[in-house]
Amino acid sequence: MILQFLNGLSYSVILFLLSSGLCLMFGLMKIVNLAHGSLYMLAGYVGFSVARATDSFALALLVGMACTALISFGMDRCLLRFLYKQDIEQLLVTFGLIYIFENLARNIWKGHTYFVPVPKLLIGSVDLFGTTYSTYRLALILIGFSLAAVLWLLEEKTKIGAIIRAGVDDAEMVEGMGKNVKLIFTLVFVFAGALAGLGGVLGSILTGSFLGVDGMVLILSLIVIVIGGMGSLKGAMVGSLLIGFADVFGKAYFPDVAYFIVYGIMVTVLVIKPTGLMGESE
Amino acid sequence: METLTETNDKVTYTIELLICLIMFSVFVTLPLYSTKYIMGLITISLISSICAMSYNLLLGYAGLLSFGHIVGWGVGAYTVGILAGKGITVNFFLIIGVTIFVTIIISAVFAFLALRTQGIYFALITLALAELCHAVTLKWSRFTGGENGLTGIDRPWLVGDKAFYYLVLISFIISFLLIRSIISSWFGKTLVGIRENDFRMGMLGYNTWIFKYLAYIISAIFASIAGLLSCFYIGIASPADFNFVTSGSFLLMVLIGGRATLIGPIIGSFFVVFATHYLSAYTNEWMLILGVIFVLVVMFARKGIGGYLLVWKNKIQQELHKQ
Repeated sequence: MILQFLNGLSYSVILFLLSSGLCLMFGLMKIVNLAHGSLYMLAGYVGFSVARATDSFALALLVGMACTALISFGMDRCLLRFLYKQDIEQLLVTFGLIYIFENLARNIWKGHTYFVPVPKLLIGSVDLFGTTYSTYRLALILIGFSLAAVLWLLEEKTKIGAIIRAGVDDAEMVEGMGKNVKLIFTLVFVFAGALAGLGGVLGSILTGSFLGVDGMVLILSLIVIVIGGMGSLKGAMVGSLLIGFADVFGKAYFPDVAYFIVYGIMVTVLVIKPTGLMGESE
Repeated sequence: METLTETNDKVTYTIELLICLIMFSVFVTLPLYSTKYIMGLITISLISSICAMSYNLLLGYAGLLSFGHIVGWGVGAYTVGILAGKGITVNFFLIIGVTIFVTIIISAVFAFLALRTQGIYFALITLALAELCHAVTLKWSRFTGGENGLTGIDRPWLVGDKAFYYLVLISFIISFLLIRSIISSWFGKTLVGIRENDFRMGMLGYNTWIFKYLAYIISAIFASIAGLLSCFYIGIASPADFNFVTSGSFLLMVLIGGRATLIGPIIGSFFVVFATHYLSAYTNEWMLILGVIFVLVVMFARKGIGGYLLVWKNKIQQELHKQ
């Protein structure tokens, strides 16, 4: 039971890394990046290759994140910038990118499944509440929670967070106050990409990187933000925990219907509160 | 999106009628001179056209971006797979009836859920629902055959390729005429109104929700007929009928062909089907090409082929009026 609880937590962390990025982008720019799952997949693959070549986990993490941040930068500057406030077109473009990234991954990694190796420092297990538990997963949980705290502090307590929050409400006004909103958009986009990369490398240790993982994590993180309320960081956290636990407990106790539990939750939330649990009512 | 209006006068109407007649006679006589390979591709193109036209009804006319249009197609394919593949019935008309019935039920539920939201939310939820169906085909293997799908499906009356081609052609023409009349009816006009300004249509006393709801269900029915024909043609219902790639190629057909144009999706279907078949003979990178075309069309050619034809037609009309 405790084991499942911890597994649920660590899975939630991976989901949170993805959905918080989606949330930030949606909150500020009303953009949903459908290629977010592809970034996860690419980061995992790149992380694996770097780790194999250099035997350094830190480097793998760094390069994986840099890659996805760079891709995000390109996406913002070359494509999405020209589709400002055209939500259907933005969705379509990022949908088209899924195919491009999948083809790229297929060419380079030949459709194999690779796992980023567990960092040496975190191999093994620790005793916890009477059970033994993987050190890596425990570290992952800690990373996730500290990241959630940092994100919260960034958004609530810093100047850049204040600008972002203001930008959510009225981007034009913020621009008028002399802030470079375009630059902030790009920054948020790159940051979200880096978060997806972080999730990709850290998550690859658990889920592996394979063709199709992109769609899998994309759908799950979309469900998370739909449940939590789009654009709400708190919502992303609640949603991640809900879906993470539902998935892990479902697989452990109701293996036949486990896959459908997450959809069941989504449907229930939609029927009761279409704007999501933490979303503002229309 | 820019509004394109189709205005007709006598000259262009005659020209259009002429083109339609020529196309009609070409398609009817096709089996006489075409190779088997080309006829196969045209059969697939016509089937895809039905699906793409119905997609366009939703995306182009109602302005609803659904990533779950594939659900109709897949439901059609799997209904055939379960009924014909498992030998429950081989009666073609009964299968069509059951397909339409099942599609109405499923899309009524899905539309109810997805239309609780709007815009981006709507798109995301339809995407999740499509993935749910994909998962059902994979996990509920006792019923759906899992990854292998359902096979052993015979064509109605065991017809050969030529007779089946005519069956597809007839279905295509019926669907085309039906969708055309839907678009030009008050229902279609109301949908366009909702696309342009949902709020204002509501203020004018229209219950916009029910129009969108019906548009979703109607377009799903056409998609299911297309899925049914496709399943009969290739003889297998597989999880690929529900997946991302199939879904994206229909979307691409509508985008290339031109949103909110009547013939656009047909042109788009022929383009995508022929392009993917010929490209896959030369290269394995067709998914990359698909993605690049996708991005380019959205970025630079939003009107699509049909849209540019319409612009062209309007120009000709203006020239004629000047004289």
